[in-house]
Amino acid sequence: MSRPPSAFFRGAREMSPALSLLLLLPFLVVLFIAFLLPVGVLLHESLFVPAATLEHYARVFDEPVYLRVLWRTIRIAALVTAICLVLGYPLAVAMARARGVALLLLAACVMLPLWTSVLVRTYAWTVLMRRNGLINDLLIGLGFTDAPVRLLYTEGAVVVAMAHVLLPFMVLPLWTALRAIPTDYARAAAILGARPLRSFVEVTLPLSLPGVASGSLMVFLLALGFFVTPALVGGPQQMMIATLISQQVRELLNWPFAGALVGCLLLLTLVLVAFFNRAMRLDRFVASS
Amino acid sequence: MTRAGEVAVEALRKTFGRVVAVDDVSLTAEPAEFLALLGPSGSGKTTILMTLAGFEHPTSGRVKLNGEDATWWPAHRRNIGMVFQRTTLFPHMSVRDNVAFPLKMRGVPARERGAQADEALATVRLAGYGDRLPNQLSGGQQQRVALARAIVYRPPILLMDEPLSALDKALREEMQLEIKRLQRALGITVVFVTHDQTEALTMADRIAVLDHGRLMQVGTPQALYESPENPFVAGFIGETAFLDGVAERSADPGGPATLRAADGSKLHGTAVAALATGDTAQLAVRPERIRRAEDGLAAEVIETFYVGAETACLLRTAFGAQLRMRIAAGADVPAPGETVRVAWDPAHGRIFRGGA
Repeated sequence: MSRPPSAFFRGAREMSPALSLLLLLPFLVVLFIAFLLPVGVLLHESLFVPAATLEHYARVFDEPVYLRVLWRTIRIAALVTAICLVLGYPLAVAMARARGVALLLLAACVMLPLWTSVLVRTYAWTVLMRRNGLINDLLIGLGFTDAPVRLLYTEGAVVVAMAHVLLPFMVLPLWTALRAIPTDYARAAAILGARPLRSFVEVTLPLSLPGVASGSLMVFLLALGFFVTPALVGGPQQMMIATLISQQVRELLNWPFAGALVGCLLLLTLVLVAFFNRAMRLDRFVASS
Repeated sequence: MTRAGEVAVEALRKTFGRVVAVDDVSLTAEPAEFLALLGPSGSGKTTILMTLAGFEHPTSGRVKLNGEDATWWPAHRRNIGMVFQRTTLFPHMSVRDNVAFPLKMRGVPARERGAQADEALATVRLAGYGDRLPNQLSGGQQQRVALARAIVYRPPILLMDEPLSALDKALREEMQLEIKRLQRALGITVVFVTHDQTEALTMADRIAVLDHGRLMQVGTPQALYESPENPFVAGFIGETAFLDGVAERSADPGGPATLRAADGSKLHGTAVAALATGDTAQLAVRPERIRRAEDGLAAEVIETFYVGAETACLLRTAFGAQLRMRIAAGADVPAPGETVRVAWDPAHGRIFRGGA
């Protein structure tokens, strides 16, 4: 008597729910212990320590200094996202068209920074931007300025360094989206009378929007919670929310208030994801073609 | 001199690195003609079409559209319609916006665009589908929309790159008739690439047969089928048996000729090119031309296949050549192992110089 092959060999589509759950189990355990549990504890403290209260949240919004940090965080993240998009889109277009060695080189240029530690890349920026750094030497040498310009510990430094660190997270989704657009579309647009720029605006750009959305969301969310770079190249005046949370936990040991800040960040993130998910409905065109 | 609808390539040559994709092809499609480019994959037919569209530019030679030298024009300036093998409907635009796209590129006001697009959709029998998205249509409907989009701006020339190859057989045959009907109604010149000989024979006014980048023969379907000029065309279009031999005596082009096969059997046919005595040659004959004859060539029946309207007989001659014969329903069918004698009208045995 022959038995049907076990579900495992029939492919994931026919897998029983129980088996799916079994395969997911290791991940779910890690997710629970490393993420849900600590975040849950923090949020619990923010709401129930010392007793059930909203005072920690009220403090975030009552004291201007915290609102300023929150607002600065959102502003820097938005600016970083915009810069990544402007720098990354042309690069992704070039990568989508490149073949062979050229593609390999471009991909390596994008990926290499990703494989280098964030800390190393951030320190590289401090070397470039410090008082007697490369950029100041260049500015003085070319006669643009007599004395070194203050570059480090400014909001500009934070934005530039973060944009550099986060660029790959923009380029890769953009590249994936652009690469998935068949070249026949551009040919069809051309033969139907569209000049190259027109063809890009009417066809390529709209079809790449899902990539723009996911790249932007990725960079924005990563920028919101970014810690290392703003802490190193930004001064106390450029404090972002992640640094603030760390300060509350490590220096002031104010866990409930840190929890309230985490809660605000989490809420902001969820609202954004929900919003982008709606905007990303665009991809229903691409999915089935 | 301009001639609307005329498409020509002159001494076209295209190489990709060391690969010669198109080798010195000269070809003209007359206004309102349906010209099929037929050949196996790698024959250069698609490269010729891409050169006509402006997606490739020739290594040497010229492309003329409507009588004008268009060799180096970019695709968007050529004002020709094109239907691709895979659907190229823009997935983010409604069917109507897709069809209206070329009108938009030509600056037609929005209101007129919609009306003209709906009209074009009606000509491909898709009236009322304008508001749908392309992926809500079947494959056949998508290709009909692509066709509407390619003709909505009334281009004098329409290029088609195996547009039906992704469709199933019944739909393909229906679309062949539909495209043919539209082409006649619009008086548009069509250059149609296909590797399907039946499609080419059904639809085309003339067929250009290509192989390895070279033009093998251009002619009407009848001419190609009945009077192939070389063994490639004889073998590529329809079924053909090839019988090898040497010329018994010299023959003029188009004149009667006789070959002697390896075992001394005589094969009668018509010389395609001049033959000298002793030239090696091969005779090509189609299964439907072979009949049984008392004084004919002896051949052993290897197998018979009943296919309804007829029975196909696979035969082997004494000198080892295989050929097929068709026996109409009702006639006697010989048994495998039996020896039969077969012959054909010498007018239908085409003799080519060369061969094995």
